[in-house]
Amino acid sequence: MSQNVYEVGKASQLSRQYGPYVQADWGYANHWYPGVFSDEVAERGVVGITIGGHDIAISRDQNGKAWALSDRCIHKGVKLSLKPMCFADGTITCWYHGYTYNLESGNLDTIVGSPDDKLIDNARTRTYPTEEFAGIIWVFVGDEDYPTPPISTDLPIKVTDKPNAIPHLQDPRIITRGIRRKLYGNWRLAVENGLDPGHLLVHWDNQIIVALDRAMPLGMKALKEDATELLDFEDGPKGVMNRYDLPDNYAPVFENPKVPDIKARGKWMPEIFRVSAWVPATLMVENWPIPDYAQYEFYVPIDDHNHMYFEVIAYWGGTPDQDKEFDMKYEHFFKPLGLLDFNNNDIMAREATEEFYEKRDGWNNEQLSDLDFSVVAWRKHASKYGRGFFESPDFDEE
Amino acid sequence: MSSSMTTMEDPSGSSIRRVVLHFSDGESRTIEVAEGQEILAAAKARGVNLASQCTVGTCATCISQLLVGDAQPKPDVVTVLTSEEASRGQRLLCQTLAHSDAEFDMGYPSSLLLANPPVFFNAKIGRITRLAESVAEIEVKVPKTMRLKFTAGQYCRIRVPGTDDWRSYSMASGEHEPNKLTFLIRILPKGTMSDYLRDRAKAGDVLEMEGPLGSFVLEPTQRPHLLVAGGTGLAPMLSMIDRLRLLRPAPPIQLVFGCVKEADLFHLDELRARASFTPTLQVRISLEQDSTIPGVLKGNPVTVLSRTDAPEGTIAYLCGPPGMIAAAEQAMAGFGLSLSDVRSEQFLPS
Repeated sequence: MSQNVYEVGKASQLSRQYGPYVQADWGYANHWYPGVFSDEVAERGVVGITIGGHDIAISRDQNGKAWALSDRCIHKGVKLSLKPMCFADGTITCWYHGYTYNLESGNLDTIVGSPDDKLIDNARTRTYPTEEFAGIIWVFVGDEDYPTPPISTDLPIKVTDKPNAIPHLQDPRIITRGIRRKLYGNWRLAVENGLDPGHLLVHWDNQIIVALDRAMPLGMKALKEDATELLDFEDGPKGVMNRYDLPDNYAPVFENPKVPDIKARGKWMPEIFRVSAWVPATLMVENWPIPDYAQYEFYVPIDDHNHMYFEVIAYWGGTPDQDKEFDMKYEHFFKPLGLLDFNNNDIMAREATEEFYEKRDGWNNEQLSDLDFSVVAWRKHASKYGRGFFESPDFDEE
Repeated sequence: MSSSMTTMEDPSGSSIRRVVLHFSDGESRTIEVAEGQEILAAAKARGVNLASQCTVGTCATCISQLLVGDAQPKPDVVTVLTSEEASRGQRLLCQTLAHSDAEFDMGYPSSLLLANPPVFFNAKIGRITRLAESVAEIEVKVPKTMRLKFTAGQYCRIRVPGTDDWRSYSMASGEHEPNKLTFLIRILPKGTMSDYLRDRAKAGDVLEMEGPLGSFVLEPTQRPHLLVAGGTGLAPMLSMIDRLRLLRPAPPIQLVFGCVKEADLFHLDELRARASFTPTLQVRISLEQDSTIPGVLKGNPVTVLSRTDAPEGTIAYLCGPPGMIAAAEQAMAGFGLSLSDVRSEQFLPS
């Protein structure tokens, strides 16, 4: 067996350490994911989404309750969401031949033009469990017979160790504003970019950093092996957190003599923005864009090369005047400077990474360094706690 | 209609018809069908899942040819079957009642009754890794136009390129990767597959394959699992562990993996990694010859076992050479495991 005919990537031994994560091209199945923002779906409205290859129609009944079911009509496979039609309470009707499904059970309740059809009550479409809070409709996606776990197991932990704790997604006092956009790039590259303590250079000249004169080191050097904390709550969420709040864990890098033309800048040092990543595909940034606020990000896998990027700013709801102030800040500060300018730089980085991982087997050919310690911790942790794997629903992808 | 008019169940059982289903591969199944029961439903009730879809007579997936006997469509039911087709003896089994014993030609092979019928396909070698002096790992890419669904423990046959020889290898990869299969292959000093791998194999080669095959299959349960593997018999165990670790709660898994000598030993890193992301997995490794590797036990995978490895309710899966299997089966019986809880697959060097 001559050595030269076997091309084995230089990272292939390391990648065995988190095999299940490397295999999760389409995302982890059997988890809760955000589907759409609440205000996107009107009563008797329908919005179509795709999560891990599952095409899902989200609708809202006459009582305001949100439901999710397969967005593929069982008859000829068209998407119900292409032309929303809800003619009777608690149902959704396919615009093509009138197959009408019960929103709750998925049962084929009737066919508009064939009321005595034998198929009626003898066929059903798939439904998905939903929840709605924090301005988001959440969907549990995976194997149809998988027992639905509580959604709290798939959300970032409630922060309790800080006096100015940011609102948990299930806290009834939370108010949120946000956007979602479909992006090119695998979901894992997005999570890793969000968590990555080594990519500060990308944000060096971003508007929000310069405008706030925010302190910006060149990097964060981990001082301990467990600088990234593994969070593993029994019957609770699983994640990893960069403990920038513990001075013993990290040392900021202010200069590098070999590159004299760039130095740390900025004077404003507010409450540290701790960053944590959570199974299945969520990021929590505390005290960002400014103290007492939080940014939640969800990198929901659509397929193996695209994800839906949710950027959500969360704050405590208060009086109508305070809520109005939040809206003002969101529209004219957080959204343009944070969600758009700042995060657009992250998006550029993710999209730029995709090609190498998609076509050049990046998982086995990347060259990691010390600054990837928290990404590797995340990969290992996520390997342990993914509940299953999404698979391509397509028979022919050529 | 008064209740006295309805037909009573005949206590002698004469209202039960025997219906024989003939498949195109020469196999047949006999099912008992009660008066008034659709043949498709009767088959399903007896665990025979015939090809079908709508079950109401509109899709014709369950169409079959009546050969012998009196079996008629249910009265007053409109189906997609034309009267001309019906007069030629074609029947939709979901809407057909047997009025006498009957026989049908199903027109498809009995393998379709399996969850994943075997198919022939070509797959490209993606990667070859020499794991030890005597072991190679190959990863093959299944064409994107298909998915090789299988059950952990099953195998594929692979034709050695340039020859008419076929060899069988269990999937080491998990059920969740139907487009990328991994196999562990023993490299012998001489052997048709060994010669190919040693001298000619390269990434990009196309392999002719058939699969999935085999009845050594995992039935995922939450009972304690004891997996005993010799050499490349580790392959099906890796696939089984991949499935078991996704159960909630995950069952306790004891893996005992043995090789003859250090030079044959492989996947120590892989097994350590598996244990790190599979909290319920415990791994022991044994070598028959003396070893300097820390933590490795002396002996074969059977001699290092003790009764405490098989707690109440244990189910055991064994894969390795014939001698190991025989010894392991004996050990399992000694631990009090019943025959039905010991599943084994043996392989011969080739």
